[in-house]
Amino acid sequence: MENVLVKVEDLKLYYPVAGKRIGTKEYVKAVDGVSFEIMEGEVFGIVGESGCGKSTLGRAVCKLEKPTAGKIVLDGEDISGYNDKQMRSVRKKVQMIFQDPYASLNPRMSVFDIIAEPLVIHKLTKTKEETEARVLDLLRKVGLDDYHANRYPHEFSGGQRQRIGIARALAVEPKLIIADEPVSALDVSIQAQVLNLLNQLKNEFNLTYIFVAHDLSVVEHISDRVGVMYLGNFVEVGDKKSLYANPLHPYTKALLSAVPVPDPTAKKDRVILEGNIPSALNPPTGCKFHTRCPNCMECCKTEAPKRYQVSENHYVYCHLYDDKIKS
Amino acid sequence: MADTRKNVLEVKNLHTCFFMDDGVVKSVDGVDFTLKEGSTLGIVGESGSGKSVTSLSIMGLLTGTTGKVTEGEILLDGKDIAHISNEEKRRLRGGQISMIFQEPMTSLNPVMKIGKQLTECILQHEKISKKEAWQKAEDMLRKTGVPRVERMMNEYPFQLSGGQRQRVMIAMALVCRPRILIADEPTTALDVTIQAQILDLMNNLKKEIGTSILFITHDLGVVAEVCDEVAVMYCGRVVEKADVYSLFENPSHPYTRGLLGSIPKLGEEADELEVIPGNVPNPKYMPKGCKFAPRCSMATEKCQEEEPGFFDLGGGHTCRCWLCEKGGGEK
Repeated sequence: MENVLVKVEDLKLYYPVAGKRIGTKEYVKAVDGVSFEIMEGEVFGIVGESGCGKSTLGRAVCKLEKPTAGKIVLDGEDISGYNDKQMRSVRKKVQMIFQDPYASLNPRMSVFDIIAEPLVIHKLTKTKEETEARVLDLLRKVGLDDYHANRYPHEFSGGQRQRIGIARALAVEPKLIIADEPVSALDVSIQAQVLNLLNQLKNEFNLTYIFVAHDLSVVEHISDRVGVMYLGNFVEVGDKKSLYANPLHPYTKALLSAVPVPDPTAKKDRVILEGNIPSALNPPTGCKFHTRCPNCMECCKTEAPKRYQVSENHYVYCHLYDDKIKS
Repeated sequence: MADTRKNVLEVKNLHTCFFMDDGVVKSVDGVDFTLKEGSTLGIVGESGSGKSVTSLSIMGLLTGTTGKVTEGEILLDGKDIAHISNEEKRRLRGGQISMIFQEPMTSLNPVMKIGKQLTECILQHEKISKKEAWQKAEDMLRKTGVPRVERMMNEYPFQLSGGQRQRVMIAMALVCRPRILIADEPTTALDVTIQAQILDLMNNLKKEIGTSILFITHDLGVVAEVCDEVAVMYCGRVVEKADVYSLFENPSHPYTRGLLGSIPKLGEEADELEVIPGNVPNPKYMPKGCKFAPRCSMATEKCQEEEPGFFDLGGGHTCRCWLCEKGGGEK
C-alpha cells in the first residue's frame, strides 16, 4: 500500500456559461484547485452536498470532463495533456461505476454485449470462446448467473443492474475504479448487498477506489481516507477514523451532526446550518464557507485558509487551526 | 400508562388493488394502523412495499388511475372517508388532510406564483377575502423560516432552491391547519444539512398547530428522529408495529432486523454489513405463506405454508412473524 497510484495537483475545472451581457462569459468553478494523493489499494471517499463538485472531481480524474488546469498523474504516467486517443489506453487502468443504473446501461444491448464491449474494444480476448468464458466468469463474480447473459437491462432490478455495471467496469482488470454514488439509487437492503460486493471485489482484485457519495455513513463504512468537499474545494481530508471521531472543520461538524442516527435514544447537540450552499458561479471571497460558518472571524471573509496539518494524515483548511490566529 | 389521546385517523383492513391489463396487483393488502392526536406515525419500507399507495388511498388520490380501494375502512375522527363522493373528498383535502410530496419541484405548479398557489388552497376552504387569505399565506410562509417572504410570494418555483421549495410545500400543506399531515418522503431529495432544517421545522410546526403527522420514509435514521410510533411495511402489509423506542431496542421481525443491520452506522466499525438476500418479490407472483419467507434466514416450513397473524409482544408492540408465537408470545 506504499505506491502512490493517483496524484492530483491543483486540479481546476471551470464550466463556461453565458454572462449577463451578450458575448461575455462567466465560469462555474465546479472544482477549484484540488490536490490529493491516493495510495494503491486504498479507498478514498469524497463526500459533500449536491453542487459541491464531488462528481465533477471524480469524472475529471479519469478525464471524462476536461480539466481547465492542473496535473493528474496516474500510476506514474502524467495524463493531464493526453488527448482522447491517448486516453483510450489509460482507460484500461481506470474504470467508472455510475450512479443511475437505469441510465448507464444501453437498453438495446444484451448483458453479454455490455460486458463484452470493453473486452472487444481493448482487444483483451482473442477468440469468441475466450470472450464468452470471461463474460460468464465476470457475471458470476458479481453474483449473477450464466442465464442472465442473454437478457436485456430492463429485465433487471436496480441492484442487479448495478452489478452489471460493476462487471463491465471489472472487465478490463482496472487498477482504479471511480464509483460515483454507486448505491444512492438503491434501497437500503440492496445497498448493503452492493457495498459488500464492492468490498469483496476490492480484496480479490486488489483494487483502488475513489468513492464519491453524499451519504456520510456509507462513505465511512467503505473508505480508508475521506475528503470533505464544499464549493469546489476540500475543507478537510483525513483518515476515516480520525475524521469521523474528531471532525475539525465547522462544516464537517455540521454535516456529521445533521445525519439522522437510527437510535431514538441518542440525543445530539445539533449544529443546524443556516441557509443554502452559495452559487458556484459567484462563490464567497476568502473562505467559501464563511457565509454559513458559526465560527466565522474577520480574516475568514477576505483570506482563503491554507492547509493545516493537525495530526498525521489529517488536514484541515480553516483559519481556526492557524497558531498565529489562535493565540 | 394508558394513552388517552384520541385517534385521529384509523385505517382498518385496507386493501388497495391496481387492475392492470394482465391481472390484479394488490399493492396494499390488509393494512391496519391508528394515528393518535398530536403524534407522528412513521411508515417505513422499501420501494414496492405499498407505503405510498397507502397514503394515496387515504388522500383519495387514486381516482384517474387503475387503482381502487377494494376493502376496508379509513376513519377520520370516526367518519369513514374511503367511500365518499369525490366532491366530499375534495372538501377534506387541503382542509382536514393535506400532503407533502417527495419532489418539491414537480409538485408545485411551475407557472403559478408562490402567493397564488398558497392562497388558492385557503380560498377553497375558508370564506375570507383574497386580501385576508394573502395575509394568512404570508404569515404561514414566514413561520417556515424562509427569507424575504414578501418578495417570494411574487416569485415562481424555479427561482427557489430545493429546501425553499419544500418549505413552501409545508406552508401550503399547513396553512388551513389540517388535522392530519401526510408527509411522503419529504426530505429524500434534500441534502443532509437541509434535511435537518426541514425535520426541525416540521417538529416545531407540529407542536404549534397540533397536527398529527403520518411520516412515510425509507430512512430508519429519520424515523428515529421524528416519529413516536412506527409501522414497518413489506409487500403491502404491516409486519411490525411498535413505539419508536421498543422498535429500535427490540426489533422482532427478521425484516426489521435486516433493515437495521443493512444500514452502515456512523462511528461503528464493521467489515461487512448484514444483508437481506434477494429482492422484493414481484407483486404478481407473491409467495404463498409469509411474504418475507423466501428472503428470511430463519424461515421454517410453516412460514412457507401459512401466513402468520399479529402476535402481541406487550406494550403495543406487535409483530407478524411465527417466531414471536412462542418467545414473548401471545398473552
